[in-house]
Amino acid sequence: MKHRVPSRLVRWAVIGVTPVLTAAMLAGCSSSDSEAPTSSDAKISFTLPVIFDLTGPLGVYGQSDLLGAQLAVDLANKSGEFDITLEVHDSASDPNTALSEANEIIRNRNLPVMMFGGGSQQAVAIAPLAQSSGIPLVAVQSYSAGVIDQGDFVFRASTPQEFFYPALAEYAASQGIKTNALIYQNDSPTIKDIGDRVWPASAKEVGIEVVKTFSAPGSQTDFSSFASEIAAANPDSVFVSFGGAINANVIQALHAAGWQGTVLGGPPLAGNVLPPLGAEADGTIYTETFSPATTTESGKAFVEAFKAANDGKLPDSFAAETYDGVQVILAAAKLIEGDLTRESFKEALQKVYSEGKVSGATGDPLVLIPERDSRTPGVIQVFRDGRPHLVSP
Amino acid sequence: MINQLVNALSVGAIYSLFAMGLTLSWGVLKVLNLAHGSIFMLGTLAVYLFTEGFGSVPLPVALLIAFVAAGLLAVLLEVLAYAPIRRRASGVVDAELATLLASVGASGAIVGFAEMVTHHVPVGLPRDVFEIRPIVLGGLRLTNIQIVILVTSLAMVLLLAWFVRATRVGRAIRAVAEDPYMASLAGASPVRLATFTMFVSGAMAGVAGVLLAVRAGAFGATFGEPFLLKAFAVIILGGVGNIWGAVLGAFVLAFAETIVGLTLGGTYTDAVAFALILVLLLLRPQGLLPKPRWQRV
Repeated sequence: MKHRVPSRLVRWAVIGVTPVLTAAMLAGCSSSDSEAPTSSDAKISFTLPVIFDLTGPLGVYGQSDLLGAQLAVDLANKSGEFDITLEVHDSASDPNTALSEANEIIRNRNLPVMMFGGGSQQAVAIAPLAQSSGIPLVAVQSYSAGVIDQGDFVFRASTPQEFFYPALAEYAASQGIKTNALIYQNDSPTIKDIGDRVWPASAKEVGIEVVKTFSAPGSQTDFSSFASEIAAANPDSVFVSFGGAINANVIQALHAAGWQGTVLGGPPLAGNVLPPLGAEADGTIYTETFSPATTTESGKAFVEAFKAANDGKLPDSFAAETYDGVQVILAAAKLIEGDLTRESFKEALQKVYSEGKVSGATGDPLVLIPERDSRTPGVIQVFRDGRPHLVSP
Repeated sequence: MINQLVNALSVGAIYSLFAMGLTLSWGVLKVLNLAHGSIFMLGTLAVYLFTEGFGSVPLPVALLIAFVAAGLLAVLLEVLAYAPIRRRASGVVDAELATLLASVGASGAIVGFAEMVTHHVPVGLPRDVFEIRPIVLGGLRLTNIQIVILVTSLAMVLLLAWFVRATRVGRAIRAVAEDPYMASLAGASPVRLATFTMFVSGAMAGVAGVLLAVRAGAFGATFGEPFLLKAFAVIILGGVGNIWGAVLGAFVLAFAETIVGLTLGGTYTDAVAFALILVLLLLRPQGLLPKPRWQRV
């Protein structure tokens, strides 16, 4: 007896299979879209894939990352020396998505180098993959351990946050701050290390007593109980460190609980995190890698170029860091004689980190070390009247 | 300690407002609406966009805007997605699964829209929507917004409970929840009642969102997502479809989180709170205040 396949089943099969087939074809097309990198007397040409946390809780930083990278590529192309195509991938503030995007990049043999900017969880996820696959990875932000230690294909162009906090503690002490409470995110590798180890040590070094410590995951929705305890202890300062908008929620909760001291923090308070609080954020002191009030020539040039490209908007440290990450990659590309392969890029990057002088937004030159890392000094800013003001150096 | 009590009460009030809407849609329509968190966020986003375009508004107006915007969004989801899915599903279980999947997609679309509109950065309502002020009474320190949250939550719970129990439409909603077919034979319109239920569900989430955004100071596109899991926990704790159960579950969870957070640290808040729920489910799977079940003998 013949069995007819129900037409409804056929209809659903077509509806289900069509998008899958289409996606597969498009993926196949995109893999072959990027042309083989070339280096000639005319122009150095390659596609630069970047993975940023463009959406999700860390999207506030990722959007700035993209602006910085885009500016660097546009200026490089305008110089006539390069013909670079920026290929943008979104890791969506999620390590699994970051891995998936990294896999897609690695499969395309025409991509000789990649860049990542975003949360440490994502960086720690993709760094081992980049190392084992033999593709050079230039990471920005990505401050935690477990990134560059993966091996010689992984480079970091941003100074790990932990090197900034001793200076912040010194500055806080110089402002008369003697006591401190600490509240931080405990499911982000970088921030957890800052909260568990770096900040308490930095505070102790300058004689600031940490009187209360609280930590919470990034999914925490209410901080009033912690804020009440902190308000009851009434420290001079509170060190706040979470990813994204939660920082603003914590500061609001502290003020609502009646605490009126000084908020201290690091790069997580940078970017567009504090402006929604308005006057509630005034007086917040934080350290980060870059200030728009920079005094270096390359930094000032970056600020002007950024403003021109973004309707007068001032850049933040995230844009500055990815701009510098691209500068490092461009410096390496210029050193390569012959084909731009993954191996040649790796060798060139190692040379840049060992000997090179790269001017960037955060330093002129950037302080790069042979261990494939950065030690460019940070800045300290105070937030007032809707924007940061440089106080040190 | 008394300050922590007030903190836990206001957190519980937010949870109950959020969860009540979800328990309504789940209990009445068997719609497990995973887009509820994004509806909660979008109500607040609607207020933000309104204030950006037309200037600041006082809190009651902001609540009204969120009430209507979130309610309408929930209705849109019902009309465009959930109702057609229920009509075409082969049974209740199939309908629940299909609407669950549809709500995941809807949530993604709503969050994507919000990210586009906010350019992926956190935003805040204007300060003068509601000026947060402290109220100090001896050793007790609370804020005016905590009082507003508690009062609004209580008012909405009482109003909803009265509505469902004492009005014709409310009784019809309960009838549809029990047996849509028999309810339709008795003259109730399941379609209209489902639409109305979803409006109320979304509207309550919208109100909760604005109150929380004022209290929190800033919000982003993924603002509502952490609350979704808590809402499910609240509903399961209290008993699916039971308004007073949702309220009780909300406060049980809020108190558990506060106690755990202060004694063991924030790391364990979610773990212990959900362990508590697991234990309760093992001992009393129908929840603290289950809906009464009738059986002919």
